[in-house]
Amino acid sequence: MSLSRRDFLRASALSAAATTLGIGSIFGNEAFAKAKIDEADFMQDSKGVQWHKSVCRFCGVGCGVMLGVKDGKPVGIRGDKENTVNSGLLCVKAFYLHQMITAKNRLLYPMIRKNGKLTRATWEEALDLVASKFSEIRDKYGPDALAFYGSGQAETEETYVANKLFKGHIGTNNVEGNPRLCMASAVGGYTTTFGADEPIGTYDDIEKCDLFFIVGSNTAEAHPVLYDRIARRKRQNPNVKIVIVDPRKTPTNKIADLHLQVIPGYDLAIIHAIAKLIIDNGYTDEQFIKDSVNFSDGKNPITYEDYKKFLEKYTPEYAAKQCGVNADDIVKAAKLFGETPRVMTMWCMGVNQRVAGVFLNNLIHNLHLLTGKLGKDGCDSFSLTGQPNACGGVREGGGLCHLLPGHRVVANEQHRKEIAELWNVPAEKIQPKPGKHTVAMFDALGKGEIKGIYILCTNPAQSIPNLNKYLKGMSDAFMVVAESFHPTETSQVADVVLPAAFWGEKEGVYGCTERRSQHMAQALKPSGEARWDGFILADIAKRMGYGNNFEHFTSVEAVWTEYIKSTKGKDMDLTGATFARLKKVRGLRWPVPSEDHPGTTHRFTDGDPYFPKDKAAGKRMYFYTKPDGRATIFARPDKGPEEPTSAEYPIALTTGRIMEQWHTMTMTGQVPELVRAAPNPYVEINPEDAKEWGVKTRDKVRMVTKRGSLIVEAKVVDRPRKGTIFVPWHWPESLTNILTIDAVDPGSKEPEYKVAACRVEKA
Amino acid sequence: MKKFYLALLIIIAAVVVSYGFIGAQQSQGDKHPDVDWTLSCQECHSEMTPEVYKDWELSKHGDVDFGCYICHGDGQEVFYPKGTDERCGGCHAAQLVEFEKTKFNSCYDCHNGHTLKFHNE
Amino acid sequence: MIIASMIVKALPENIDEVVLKLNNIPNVTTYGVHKEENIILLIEADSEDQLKDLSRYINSEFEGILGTYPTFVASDEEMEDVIKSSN
Repeated sequence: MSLSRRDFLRASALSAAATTLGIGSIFGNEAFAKAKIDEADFMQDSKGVQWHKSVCRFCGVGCGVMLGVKDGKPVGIRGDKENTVNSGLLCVKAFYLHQMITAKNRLLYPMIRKNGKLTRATWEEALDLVASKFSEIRDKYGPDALAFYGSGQAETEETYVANKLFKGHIGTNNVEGNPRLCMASAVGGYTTTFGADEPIGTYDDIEKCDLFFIVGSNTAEAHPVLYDRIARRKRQNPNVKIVIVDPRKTPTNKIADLHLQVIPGYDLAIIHAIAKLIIDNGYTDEQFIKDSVNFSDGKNPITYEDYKKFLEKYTPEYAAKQCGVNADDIVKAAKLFGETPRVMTMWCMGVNQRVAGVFLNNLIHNLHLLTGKLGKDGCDSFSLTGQPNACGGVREGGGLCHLLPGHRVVANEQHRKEIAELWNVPAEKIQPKPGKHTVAMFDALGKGEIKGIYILCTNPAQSIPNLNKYLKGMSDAFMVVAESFHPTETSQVADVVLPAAFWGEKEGVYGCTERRSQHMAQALKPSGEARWDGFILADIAKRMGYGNNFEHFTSVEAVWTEYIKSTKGKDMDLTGATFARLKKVRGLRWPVPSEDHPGTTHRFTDGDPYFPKDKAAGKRMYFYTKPDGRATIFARPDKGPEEPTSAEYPIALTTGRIMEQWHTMTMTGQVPELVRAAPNPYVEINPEDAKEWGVKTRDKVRMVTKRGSLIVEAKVVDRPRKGTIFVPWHWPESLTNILTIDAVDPGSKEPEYKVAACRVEKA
Repeated sequence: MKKFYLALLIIIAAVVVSYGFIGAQQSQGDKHPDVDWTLSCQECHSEMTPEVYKDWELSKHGDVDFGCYICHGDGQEVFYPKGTDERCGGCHAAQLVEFEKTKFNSCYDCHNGHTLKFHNE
Repeated sequence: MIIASMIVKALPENIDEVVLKLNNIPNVTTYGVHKEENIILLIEADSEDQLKDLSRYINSEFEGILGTYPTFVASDEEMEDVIKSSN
């Protein structure tokens, strides 16, 4: 074919534009076809940089990233434009991801505490020590004297190996992870209301939604890429409304139409009031309620009429008084919720980290069940996740003390049998009683009931609430920390520190907020002597005499392949998400029961491979994870915080994150640019309070709770409501969790980081 | 020559399809004056250079609170007194131009000032 | 001759009007609306100055445009070798 040079250029120009938009051929002529460039070519660019498909290491959004590697070194990060989660966009943290791989604080070799000091050791020495010490504790004090504390940042395969070792072989259910501190209440809400964990819809609903009801989430800073999708939806469709319920004005307010600035810990009444207004004004979907809903007071079934009676007290005026907002605004919010056909509620730690966390989750689901705004385009009761694999690894993988892999629980005999068979152990080996939840686990460390603990990829010596109470226990027990970085608050007090391969140095699977499992490529060799966590755990298993059942774990893929067997036929079926397939695609959303199944956008309705059409008998939704296919609307009391403000402690203290930092700064604290954004620990104080207290920005203030005190700089800003202060918890030199309360939700066992009573003095 | 030009096309396309960047590893220019490093850029510059700060606030970067550090580094360990195109590529790789083929030398030729709007309009 | 492509983002409600207007500019051809809000544009300009003027004109004179994103610029003189060797 003869091609004129101008044709060639035209085709090239159009090809570039089409590729940028992520569309295929835009016109079918030969010139274009010839000039079209295969995507595979981009995997290596002109500068010799190889790009590897991965997933961001930070929050639970699950943005696709490409890691650039040249000469065995990480040189750059790109958003993965093929990934529909973020379409190439990234937030500021992800831009610096490659710098964290080579950060100065990378841990490069094993260390053992000798004469009180951590000193370099060989792998043999370290693993022998861990195995012999753990075996000794197991033999002398029984399996429950051992514990594992994992992470929503660990890969699913890593959590799976740990679970198999501790629950299936050592024989203790003392297996926990930091998702207990962030997602447990969401799990409690989903399982009690719908009979199964995790959202019904997906991110796809964002582009079809007309009202975003955002409760206790600073999406703009905590989930910037998701925020961008919401903001874009609103920009393109000015009729889209956004209602926020939060004690703070946050950057998310930039897109808000209505903000209910509640007193921390008192927002349950608002949701009840909205439910009442929805019923009173006829916004309910009576057919849906008739078909797919039960009512309960938490103990016994009640009727729809009982529920209406229960709601009588929750007038907008009552709720307004409880929550410190205008009654009119509650009416406006209810009207929007009722009249807008497509509504998504999104919430995060402001809802979960509460002693009423599960209740509040239930109440949010109530609104969607009353209106039937669920299981269809643009509608969902959608929990946002804080960590990249809290959903995939810990919630689905069963990495909490009451769970087993594949949405199973230890208390269920059939579940124990199924997993014991997969693990090749006698069913009796798995205890029927849940182990110790996170706060109880660290309490037991302090009391000497737990004598040995293995901590993987997390930093509890900074992240546990009411820290002063638990730090000693961590020093006293035999503590093994597998980490990519050192020193952290936790690794500093460990007895053995094992260098773990970091993101980019290992492959594996992360499962994000929208039930999507995504493969991360290994692009680099592990730094120094670092090794993959799964292999480290398998080596310890072998040394403790459990070798037979871990020997076949010679690759990450081998672990994944065994794990997905546990999901076969379950509501979270990942059978079709084989390792080979995940390597090719940008993730799959379960249930995905076979390799030719595309994944599921809405559960419990047509399109869900497990939706039982026969049982549903014409009903739009059938919650097959409930015995009668009906979800539950709960009449829960409007429980307040554990520690209300008092004369002595008149201020409500709430904690959280900022955009540029993540959790305990182990990673983001290594990037000078990110540190510069907020170099010092600080507390946000409302200008009216500041005036009253005679405090200016940069003055030092002392915050005192019943548990401890902390001095930081004041930042006077109209963000928290009067009578409330906000303290970000990132800086290791200023441990915010000395102040926070360790009271937990009785159902989810998640601590109430979001509300404590304090007083503030000029320091 | 054919290979060279095909490679060139691939480069251009590769650049335009990505919204990412190759970490800027350039030599540092002038030093940022030694200041009170316990302050964030914004805290100091909102007082010292209010016009610049105001322009930034009006920019898209200001809108999403992507601070001075995005273009200029942290000032202390890494400092880019004049933003570099390489850093623009961080978010705007899709908009990068092969400058040698144009009369322009830099993104900043057109996107000037701290509003970064086209011709500072 | 300079050949360039560009993506013009416009509000979906204005997009038909924008396409119409763009097609009226000499040396500019549009290649469809993609993903609701993106118009692919091919510009064939006599000189770099003309390209610059055109881009600026599109960027600043049109209502309803959210942004323009250059995706390709090349001069056809430089491509001669490619064509010769591929024939």
